[in-house]
Amino acid sequence: MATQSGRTLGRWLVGLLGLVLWVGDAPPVARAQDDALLAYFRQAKINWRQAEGQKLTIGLNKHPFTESLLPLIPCSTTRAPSSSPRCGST
Amino acid sequence: VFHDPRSVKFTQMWVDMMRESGPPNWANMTWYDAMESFAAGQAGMIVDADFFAATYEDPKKSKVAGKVGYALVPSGPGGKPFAGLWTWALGMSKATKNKEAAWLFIQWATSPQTLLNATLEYRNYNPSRISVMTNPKVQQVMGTWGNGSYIKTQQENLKTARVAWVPHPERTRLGDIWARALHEIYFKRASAEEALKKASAEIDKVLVEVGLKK
Repeated sequence: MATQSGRTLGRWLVGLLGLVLWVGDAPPVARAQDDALLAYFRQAKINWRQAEGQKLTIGLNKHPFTESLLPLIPCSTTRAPSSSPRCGST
Repeated sequence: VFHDPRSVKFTQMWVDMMRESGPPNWANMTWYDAMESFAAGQAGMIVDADFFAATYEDPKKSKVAGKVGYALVPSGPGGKPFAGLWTWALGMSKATKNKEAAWLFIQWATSPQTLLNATLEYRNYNPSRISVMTNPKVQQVMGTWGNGSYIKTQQENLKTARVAWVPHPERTRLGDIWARALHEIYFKRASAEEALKKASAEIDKVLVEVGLKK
């Protein structure tokens, strides 16, 4: 992930290894929480892994909306640990 | 409209106010700078977007958290004020190589669950989705701001708010002409009447150039 500053800053390379959380090594309690949080995305019946291995370059303005989204972006990839950042709120 | 006597009078009054009571770096400030300046306690009053309150009320970022009151902009003589609704969006370039991946990302990023997470965990107040805005936890947080004045003001504001922004490719160019005029007045390089008349002529020229005016 690389950042650059400027008036409209933001350029992040996101490795999209599938748009699902990675929960492989999560302890049982964390995994149960993740399952509950992921239920929302599963019900969409979308194959979130269909772009697995592809990369996106995303440009975002400097803005509170994008600043709130940035820490969640790892949640959109299979690289994300399940606990940090918090990928779900109930 | 730009150099209508009422516009000239108002603009002069407004620029005078900025020069006398506004921030010293007004001419170089972006909206983001203004938001941070208010949060840093460098101003007594600010007129701007309602979502800035998320920054003002964040104790980690703000020196004025818990000390701000919220109210609508008062009406001018004979005027009916309204707020311009802004839009936050994620778009995809037609040159995107991985369109399906980009579309999946946009769906994930704008989903109610992701926006709820962004709001509750990372302060995306006030959120653009009704389902997130009406979430009890979200309402609970926003309900404390300004001793309750924030939500009341925000709801009142939405009664008359409308999309006023024009999504035209020349919008930025035209806005820059107007902003340059304000700078000329601010730095006393021209009177309000002179600067606005000049800006009006430049804008007409652009409108003719792009076929919006004969």
